[in-house]
Amino acid sequence: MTQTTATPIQTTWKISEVLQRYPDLLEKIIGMSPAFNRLHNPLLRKVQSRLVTVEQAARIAGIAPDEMARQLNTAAGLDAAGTIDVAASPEQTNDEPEWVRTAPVGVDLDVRPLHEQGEEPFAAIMSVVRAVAPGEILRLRNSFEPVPLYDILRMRGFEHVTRQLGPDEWEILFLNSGSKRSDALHNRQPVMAGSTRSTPVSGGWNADATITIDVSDLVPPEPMMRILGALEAMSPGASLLVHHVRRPMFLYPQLDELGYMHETRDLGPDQVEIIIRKPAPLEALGK
Amino acid sequence: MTVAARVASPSGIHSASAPAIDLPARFLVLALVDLLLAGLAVPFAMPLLLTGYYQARLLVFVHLNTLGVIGVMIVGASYQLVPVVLQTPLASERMGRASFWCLLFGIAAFLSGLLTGWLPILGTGGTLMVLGFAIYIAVIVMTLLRAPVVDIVGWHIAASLFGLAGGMTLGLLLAFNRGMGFLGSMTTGLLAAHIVLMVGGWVNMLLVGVAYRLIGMFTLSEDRLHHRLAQVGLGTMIGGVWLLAATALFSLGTPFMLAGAGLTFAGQVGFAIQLVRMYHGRRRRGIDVHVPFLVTASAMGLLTATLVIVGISLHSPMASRLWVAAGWFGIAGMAESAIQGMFYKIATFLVWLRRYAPVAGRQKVPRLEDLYSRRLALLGFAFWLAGLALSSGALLFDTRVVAILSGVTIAAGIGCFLKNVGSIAAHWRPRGVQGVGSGAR
Repeated sequence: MTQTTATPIQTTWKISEVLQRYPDLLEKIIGMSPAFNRLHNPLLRKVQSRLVTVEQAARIAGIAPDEMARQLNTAAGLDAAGTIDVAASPEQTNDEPEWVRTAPVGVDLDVRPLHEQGEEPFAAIMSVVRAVAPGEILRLRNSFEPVPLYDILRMRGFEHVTRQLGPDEWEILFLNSGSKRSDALHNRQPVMAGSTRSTPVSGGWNADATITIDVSDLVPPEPMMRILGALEAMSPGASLLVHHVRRPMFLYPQLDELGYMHETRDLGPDQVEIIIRKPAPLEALGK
Repeated sequence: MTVAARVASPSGIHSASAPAIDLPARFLVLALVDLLLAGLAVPFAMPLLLTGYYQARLLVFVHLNTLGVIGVMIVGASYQLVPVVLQTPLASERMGRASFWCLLFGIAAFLSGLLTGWLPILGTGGTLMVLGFAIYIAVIVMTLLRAPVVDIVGWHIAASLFGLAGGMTLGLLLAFNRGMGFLGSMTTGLLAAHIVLMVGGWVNMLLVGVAYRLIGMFTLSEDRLHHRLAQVGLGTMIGGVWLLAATALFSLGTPFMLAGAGLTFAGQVGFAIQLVRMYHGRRRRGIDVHVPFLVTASAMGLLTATLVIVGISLHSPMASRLWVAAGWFGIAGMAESAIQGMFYKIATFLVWLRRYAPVAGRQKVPRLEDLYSRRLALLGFAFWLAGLALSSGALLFDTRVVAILSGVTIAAGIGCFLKNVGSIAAHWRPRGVQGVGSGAR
């Protein structure tokens, strides 16, 4: 039988994980920022809470990540002194790059009406991303800072500048720099949708992984879709570390066919890691 | 199952593979053709249930369902699921394909032999079928032996193979006995043991194990499976089924029969408790189409076990309507309900894998539930359930008209199911220059 210990809430946890373990914290989280009011909607809560970590939520709420984790731990009745892993905050600067003034706006998208209608805007955003040519800007207006989107679009070669125009009005400029840039993430461990774990992997695996995703909370064939989608977005030579609950037996032939190198190891009951490396063009030719 | 055992499993650059898609697919197609035939025959066959169980046309109908639909479907689904469950490639796909041809020709000959009573074709069909099932058992056993870890689902599969081997051996004896009559007074006991081992020892055992894995995977409730209860449930089912079979074979007496039936019932109760736990604690909310089918299967399994206990307690004669009802609800109510529910997951995934996996990540691809009509699936379930209810009325009140009506209603349920199968199959298209046989390579 699984035994649950009262682990303090970490900044790297997904909001969904926080709510799964401590459902009573919902109102506490909603009270931290008006941007979280949409969590009252069960459907939006289900979708969005899986996309945002505590650290990202803190940035949306405009408070320090460790302060937010401390508040949540206190509300949950947990003693978190000295046990919170504070995620490294991305660099923030007020100096806007040159491209903000010189690059043309290719697509202008305001997703606030979608939020008002209770719809999830992620699909709408991703559908216009393809229309943004290299050197052009996607100008996005939102009612909060869409922090999880930064990592996802960074993988597709987009840089961003964020401006807060009002309490519930944000403008984010995404520049298509012309190439997919997952290599830019080498020094970080970004988390994509579905990722929940921050446990380091022993050996050389973690050092090799460019991106980490967790597909444990997905039903077949969604893990395959998510993994192949992530691989497609990655640059040649990059590696993907996948957390899963079982060996993805039907994914292996797909990976073999696409020329990906992959390695799987079992960590324990219902816990498997797969590292997948996308071949560089020369490797693919030599295959 | 220990953590150490899992950690010790092999790692390294590795190309473990699932079987080529054509292997399970050919079995599923054959099972669906047989289901179509069974659907066409059921309005005519249902009244036969009121007249006894040992007549040629009824035997053909029953074995079309048990061997043609349930058996073939289970073999095909096993070839797809066992590598997933055991995390190990299938031991031999070539042997798997050989088992298909044995079963295809074996079942066709066997059913013809049952209908005509011609011993050579009956014996040939029976022998081919036994060969087909023996190859299937060998492939799964070899795969089991290669698996780094065998969990509770794997143990269900292993236990079911023993049930199949025992039931198949008795079935072959019965087939030859039909032409030669050498069993004499043992025939009835052998028939009862054969039914118990095939339905309870093979089909039920396998479906329960596979349900644990499928439900967990598709509703995100794997952590809700109570492993100790599953182990106890498997143990009671094994003990119950084999005790029942032994009692029927060797006339051990009512107390042993009741003990066997009681253990089997306890195993079914354990499965029902697991279903409730897993569905209640599932993280993927909503009612998937497989849910009502599996809940019905579990309820019918309980009903079957209850009827067996009642029949033993009342010392009902073998020709009694009560035993006919127990057999019917075990075969159609439990096994075929579960198979329909599981088909919506297994076969749909198979088609999705063939058609959409190669472009997943690069193109927008549909979800599994987009491949068929949910409304039609639920309508089919309603017909199916109504047909089962009507059949119980027909058996209870000995009403021929209700029996025909139940057959028509069940046929309507099968029709809805097959229409959805057609929708799913419409997504199956060739992958460029690759042949069917190289589908997943």
